[in-house]
Amino acid sequence: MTRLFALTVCVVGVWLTVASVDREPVAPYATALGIGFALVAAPLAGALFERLHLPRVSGYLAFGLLCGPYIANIITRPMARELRLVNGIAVALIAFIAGLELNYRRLRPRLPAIVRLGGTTLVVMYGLLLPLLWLAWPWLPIAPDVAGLTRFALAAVLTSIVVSFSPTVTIAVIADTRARGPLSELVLAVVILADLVLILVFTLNMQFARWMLDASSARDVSLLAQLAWEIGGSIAFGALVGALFALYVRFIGREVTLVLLTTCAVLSEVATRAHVEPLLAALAAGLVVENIAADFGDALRDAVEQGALPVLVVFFAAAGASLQLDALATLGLVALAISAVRLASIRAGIAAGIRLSGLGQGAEPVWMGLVSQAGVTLGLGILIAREFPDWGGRVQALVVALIALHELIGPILFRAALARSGEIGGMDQSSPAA
Amino acid sequence: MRPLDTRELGGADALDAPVGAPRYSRFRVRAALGLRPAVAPSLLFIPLGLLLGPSGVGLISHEVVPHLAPIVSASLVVLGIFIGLAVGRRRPSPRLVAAAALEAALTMGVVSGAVLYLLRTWGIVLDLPLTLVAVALGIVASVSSAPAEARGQHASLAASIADFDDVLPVVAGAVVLGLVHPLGPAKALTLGTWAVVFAVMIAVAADLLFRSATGGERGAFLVGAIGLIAGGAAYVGGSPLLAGFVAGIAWSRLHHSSAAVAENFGRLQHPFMVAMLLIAGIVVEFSMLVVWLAVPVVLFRLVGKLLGASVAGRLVPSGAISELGAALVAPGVIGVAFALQLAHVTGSAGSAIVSAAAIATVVNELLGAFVAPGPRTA
Repeated sequence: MTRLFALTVCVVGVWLTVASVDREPVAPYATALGIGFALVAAPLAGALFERLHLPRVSGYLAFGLLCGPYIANIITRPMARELRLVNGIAVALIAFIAGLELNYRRLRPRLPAIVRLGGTTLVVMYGLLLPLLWLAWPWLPIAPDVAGLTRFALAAVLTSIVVSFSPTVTIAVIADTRARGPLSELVLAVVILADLVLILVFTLNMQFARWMLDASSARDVSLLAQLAWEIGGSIAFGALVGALFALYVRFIGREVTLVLLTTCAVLSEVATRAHVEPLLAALAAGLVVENIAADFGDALRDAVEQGALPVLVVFFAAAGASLQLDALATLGLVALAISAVRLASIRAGIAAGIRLSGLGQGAEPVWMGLVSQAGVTLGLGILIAREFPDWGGRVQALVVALIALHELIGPILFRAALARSGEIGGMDQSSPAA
Repeated sequence: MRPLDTRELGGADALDAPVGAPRYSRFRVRAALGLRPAVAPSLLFIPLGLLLGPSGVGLISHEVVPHLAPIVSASLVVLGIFIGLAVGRRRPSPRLVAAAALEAALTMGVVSGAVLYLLRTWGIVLDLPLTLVAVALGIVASVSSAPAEARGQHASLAASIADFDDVLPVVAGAVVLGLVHPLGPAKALTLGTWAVVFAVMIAVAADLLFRSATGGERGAFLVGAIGLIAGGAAYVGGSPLLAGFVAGIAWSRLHHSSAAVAENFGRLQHPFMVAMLLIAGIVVEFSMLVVWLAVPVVLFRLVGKLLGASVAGRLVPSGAISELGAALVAPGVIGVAFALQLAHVTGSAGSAIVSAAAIATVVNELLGAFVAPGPRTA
């Protein structure tokens, strides 16, 4: 009751503040208000969701959605846009935490099985979704008149986007529930490996589509080199930053939260400018710290705990506020149909993968961790829209609708799987290097 | 001796540990990020920002600066909360408050008057009214930071004056921001009042939230409250410093918040202060105008502080006037923070003020390190 009253005071205060200025405020000044509001109110929504046995991150998302421009408009459009400024740091931090959770020694015995599971899942998903999307193409609101091989090329591009997963949401749910165990490790490894492969497949499919549409042929040769740089450069850059961070923690070890957040900001900004993938770079940094450097114990753990909550809260509240409900309203039925097929293909893929990898029925709930879609999917959609504004723009709208669906459903399903496997709170019961 | 957790940039954490190396004893000021030899944060981070910014290697461009405005606002709120907590928790005697206010007013008057006279004499034309520029620089000059370890009654009183001389600049800064408000002074008064009311509302709401919050949640709520207060003030064009000050006083009177805020601020203040000082360094631009503004601020600030110390010393028994004056030389970070806020509101017109304020702060901090009797906060 006390919390509800406090929340009411904040909501009324923010609403009156926004209403007191008639003109459209200069965007940067709305940022602090948006972030502050999200940090105070979203954790309350998260706590409420936790009581209902739902993920806290879904609570943050729901808060953003409710207070965002489409419903209550307390977080106005400029505020929502400015809130996304933290995305870079958030994605880097989330990936860094993921790296800290991927202990090679722990994973090594199961690595071949994980690769088989992920590979089979991708092949099955592709095998089911590509023919279906190709057959359904005339009814999709993208480019219904396209036929022949071109239609196949466009369907292949769309398939790589529909198949993609969300490492960010996966990691965030793990970090938020403090889950540790075979399932969370398996899902994380599959999602990360699969998305790496998918980025490569997407690039090849885009090349195919370009060739079919005879567009920007000059870029053909450099594309694979660019991809190699993105992956290799990301890992090298991340490893370097991770090593420096490890040295800092070891020899100075003060203000670790501040330095961790600064490291994530550097990873995000420099990686973007150097055209490498921030997510991969941050993951590599975390991997180096976890696997090569010594165990730093409480200092790093405290830093992560202190830094993660505010960043996760703002990141998901911003995502909720930026969910484009109009896209969902327009393309909802198509998105729903594709989502249903995707879900079925994930289940089929995981079932086949379990048989081939010999992981056993304990791995069966993995499919529930693969439903989420967010940043990577949107990024791929934006790439298509940028290069092919006509049909690519329509693909992007469809992608946005799919993300809106999967970002809401995915965390709920994944948390349920973690709860079922008894891994929630596992981080608090064992040391990081255990 | 005053509790450390109410200091402008203090906090009972590892960074406050005394540092060794006798040859650096003159710089035995608050450690910046715990690095040795320890230096005042202004001396480290303003030059670092300068190096990274457009005037240095250009890693951070001018286009990024407007996006950093929320950090400046939040830093101002943090500083305001500290001052508010200090006033609210320590409840200084009216004589002490009067002495500190007089000292600040005299410094403000001396610097403003001298700068205004010189600007008119030199015939310098600025995009802002000269009086406003002079008053703004007077506010920048009037603040002081207190020694971290004040041993003895006199030293402790001197430190108290240095702490409480921030109150007047907080209020004067709010007035200046009101004068440059794009919607005019009358509307600025209404909106500025709302910013203060909003800050109290958030302080009360945060107090209620602290009661049931766990460790991690408290941190998020506190950062959220700072963001809300800063955002509310910035959104309506009010003064985040004043809003934070009022919130600090409110928190000091609320039982739950008082302990929770003090506990969490030790950790939170550093990122904000470091970021704010880096931003100040980033926006610094060297020009003859900046030099013409900075030099009088440094010189007349010293005059003002000595004059202020002599008057304040008559009101409270604070030992030798020269010792009190020396304790007030180090400027701390509030002046730079206010100049940054003004620059964000006035745009390019205020960039000369923030450049002059940053340079003057660094020089005064150096002077303070040499003349101050002991270790000090930033």
